[in-house]
Amino acid sequence: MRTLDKDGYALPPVYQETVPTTENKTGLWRFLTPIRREKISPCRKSCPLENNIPRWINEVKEGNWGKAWSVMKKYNPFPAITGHVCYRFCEDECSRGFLDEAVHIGEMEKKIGLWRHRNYKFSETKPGNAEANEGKKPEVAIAGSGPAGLSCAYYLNVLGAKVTILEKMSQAGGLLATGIPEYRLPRDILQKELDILQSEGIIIKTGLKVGKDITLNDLRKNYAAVLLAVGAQESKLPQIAGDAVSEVAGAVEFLRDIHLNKIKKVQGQIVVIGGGNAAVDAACMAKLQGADKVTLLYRRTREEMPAHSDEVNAAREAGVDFVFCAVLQEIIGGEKIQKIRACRAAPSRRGERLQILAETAFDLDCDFLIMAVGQESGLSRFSSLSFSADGIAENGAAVFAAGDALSGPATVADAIFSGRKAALLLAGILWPEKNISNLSVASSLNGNEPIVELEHLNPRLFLRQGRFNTAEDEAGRCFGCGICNNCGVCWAFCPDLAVGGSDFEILLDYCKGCGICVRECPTGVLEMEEVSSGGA
Amino acid sequence: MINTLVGDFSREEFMLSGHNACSGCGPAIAMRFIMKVAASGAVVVIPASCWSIISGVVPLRSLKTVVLHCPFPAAAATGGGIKKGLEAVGDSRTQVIVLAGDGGTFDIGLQGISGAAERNEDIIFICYDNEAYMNTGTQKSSATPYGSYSATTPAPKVKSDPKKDIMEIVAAHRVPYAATATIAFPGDLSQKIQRALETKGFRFIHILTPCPEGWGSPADITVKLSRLAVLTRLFPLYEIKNGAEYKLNFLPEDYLPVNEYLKPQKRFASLDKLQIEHIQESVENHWKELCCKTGTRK
Ligand SMILES: Cc1cc2nc3c(=O)[nH]c(=O)nc-3n(C[C@H](O)[C@H](O)[C@H](O)COP(=O)(O)OP(=O)(O)OC[C@H]3O[C@@H](n4cnc5c(N)ncnc54)[C@H](O)[C@@H]3O)c2cc1C
Ligand SMILES: Cc1ncc(C[n+]2csc(CCOP(=O)(O)OP(=O)(O)O)c2C)c(N)n1
Ligand code: SF4
Ligand SMILES: [Mg+2]
Repeated sequence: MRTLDKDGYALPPVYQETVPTTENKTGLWRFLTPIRREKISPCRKSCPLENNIPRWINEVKEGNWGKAWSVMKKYNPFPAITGHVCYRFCEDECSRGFLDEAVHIGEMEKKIGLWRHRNYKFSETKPGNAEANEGKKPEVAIAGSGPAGLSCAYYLNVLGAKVTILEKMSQAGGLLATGIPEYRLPRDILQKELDILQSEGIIIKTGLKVGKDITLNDLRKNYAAVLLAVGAQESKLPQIAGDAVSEVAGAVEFLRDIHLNKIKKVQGQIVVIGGGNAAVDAACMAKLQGADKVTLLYRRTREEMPAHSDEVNAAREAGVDFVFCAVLQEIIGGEKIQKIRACRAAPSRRGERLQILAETAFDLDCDFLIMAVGQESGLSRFSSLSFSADGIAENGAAVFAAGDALSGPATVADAIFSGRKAALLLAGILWPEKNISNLSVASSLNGNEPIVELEHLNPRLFLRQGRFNTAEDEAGRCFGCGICNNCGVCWAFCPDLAVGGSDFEILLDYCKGCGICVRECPTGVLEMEEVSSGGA
Repeated sequence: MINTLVGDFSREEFMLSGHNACSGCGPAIAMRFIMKVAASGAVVVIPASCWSIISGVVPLRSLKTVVLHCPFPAAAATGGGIKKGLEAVGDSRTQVIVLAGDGGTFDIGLQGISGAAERNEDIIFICYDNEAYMNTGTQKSSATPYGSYSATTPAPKVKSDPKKDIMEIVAAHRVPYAATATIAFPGDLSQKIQRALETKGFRFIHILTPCPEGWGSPADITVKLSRLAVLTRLFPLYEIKNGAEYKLNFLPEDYLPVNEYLKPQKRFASLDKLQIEHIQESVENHWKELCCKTGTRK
């Protein structure tokens, strides 16, 4: 029978006595079966937050910003912040880097965060969405409003707790407010984040120091659980001969005083000691605030500096002078500091013992000395308590620790991750009988998940291309390591039409097990598994 | 339409699962794309070859269109005759696609192709090239490359003559459209089928289709080999209009050594360093010639 199309055309008829080959179950030939098994992408593996980056990139690719945010928030509720300040460990490991250039993950993250800021409707929100909450809300107190405290507060609030944050400074945000320079994190971004958290029902009380204005014992009495996210902000000021002068400050304190407008102008010759981010930021800030000359001394080589290269480059551009393999020996001056004396050290790696070279002493003019050689945890003020590596009080009290306070100086992403982990720990105390679903809070990886290796991927399916202008196009550069991003390659190349066209499932009746789909899959999500007996 | 990383293709299939091609068969992949583009308005002529079997041994059929099986040497003549017959009964729209293997194209079918090309018969002649007589057990054809093992050129002697340049032979007939394609570039392949459909007269498409069975390659690298053939410049993707206008369709970004392509195939296992260098050299010479013809600087 010829069925005519709308133009009155039809092919000559197929001889109808024949049998379609679909009667022939070629799946019986198979002794290996392709299966889909998600793996951890290298970006996710190197992200302190274990952020499922390819998943939300896949949503950005389609322009689904709302969905991208839904994925993001389970891992990182503050992408607008991390998009600005994170050191993007993810991009260092991006598989695409082996083809042309890493995917610009950080910028996409920032865009998701800014999308959320633009689209957040303050009027419509109801405090907390009571996912794990039946009856009265349990109350939690969090000391410290840095990223660790804010992250824990966000997740506990989502899970249904009533959260109060106590912050000793007049401004909330921790080092986001008082440490990180404004040129890296515009403060309206932080403010918007704080506004959103408050409108979601989180209470932030500033100017209240736990241990002074209110005791930890009082908190323990009034709240079901307490988190200490007090940071590691007290600069260590080592004893140095001649150190009896007032023009010496810790880098964190110096930056804090600038951010809080306690220092209005910087002038003269500034020397900064240290090689971490705090040192470099302080040096850069001093220069930008009007210092005539800023010299940073670091005891090891350039390569060994713990500070991120972005920051070092910014400081270089600002005009900071770097002196490597130099060790502070003495502060010279009477009432006022005049010079510092330093000497040379042999080039060495981090962790190695420093070897001072004899007769290499040199002097530098100095009006103000900034020390950035380590910061102490705020937990030292609560010395009656000790904590496990996970931040659980060892005496069994419902007190937890998170962020820099627990780990020592780390990064914003580490702090957010620590806050997220703490939220799950606290939830276990607040709702002991409740099984906390990770629909809204991602739990941590256990380390046994399969990791995507370069050999699982198929970069030759992609042409070399630098970064794109739009986020959507840039997202298209992502290989999608370890996830199925519906690229359709398995479907396209199957000689047996044994991959479904809608959700790319393998049709076991017909799959002969050739493995082309696995070999061609650009994300490494497919693998071959042995089957004991072939067929469907 | 399904938008994939390797091109946008119609969701509709004109080929069925359950066909009897070997696991990982390259010619099966090629035909699937050909059918997606053409089958809604084409009948197919198939001379003796693997595809005689894949399309279904009686009573089976794996193609959702009319298939006419014809004698080994007669594909082009049969196709031309069917086209004339269709026109005679007033059907000027149905396209005739001839799908022949390399044996049915380079060797036994060549006189028929030459005749049909000379008469500019209105058919699309597609050669799926798996570089030997595979259906009867890997005897060499004139499409078998230099250095390849086959049942009739066993190691260590292997094939000592180069592959016949079928594109130049067809181009010399000044046919309106001729093109090369391969399965790793299905977007390009589909476009060429489309262009052929839109052209009148004798159209010729030469598709390289790796054959795991005959090439001694793992079934899962069929597409990868097809890609490597293009990336090593051993099998360039190009078109020739009216026998004279050459166009290169894909310029590889790097110079991959041809050994990347040869190494995984057992049929090349006996090659020594000098023979591989010889292949590399002839690939480069052919590439240079093609660059001249296509006006490519590289
Ligand atoms: C100068 C500088 C620049 C940096 N730049 C970056 C960067 O660009 N990117 C990056 O990823 N990381 C950066 N870091 C690191 C990052 O800022 C920290 O790792 C992160 O802020 C730690 O978060 P947290 O919440 O644990 O602690 P903090 O941010 O230090 O917050 C702790 C909060 O607790 C409060 N607090 C302390 N004691 C009490 C108390 N007893 N009662 C109540 N409140 C208390 C403090 O006032 C503070 O607000 C930088 C660090 C410094 C010092
Ligand atoms: C006149 C004639 N000679 C020989 C054969 C046997 N025969 C059937 S298929 C085939 C090989 C076809 O080779 P090719 O055209 O390259 O297609 P392939 O099987 O490789 O797909 C041969 C020799 C035949 N059918 N007719
Ligand atoms: S012998 Fe080669 S071409 Fe023929 S069906 Fe098997 S894989 Fe396909
Ligand atoms: Mg053949």
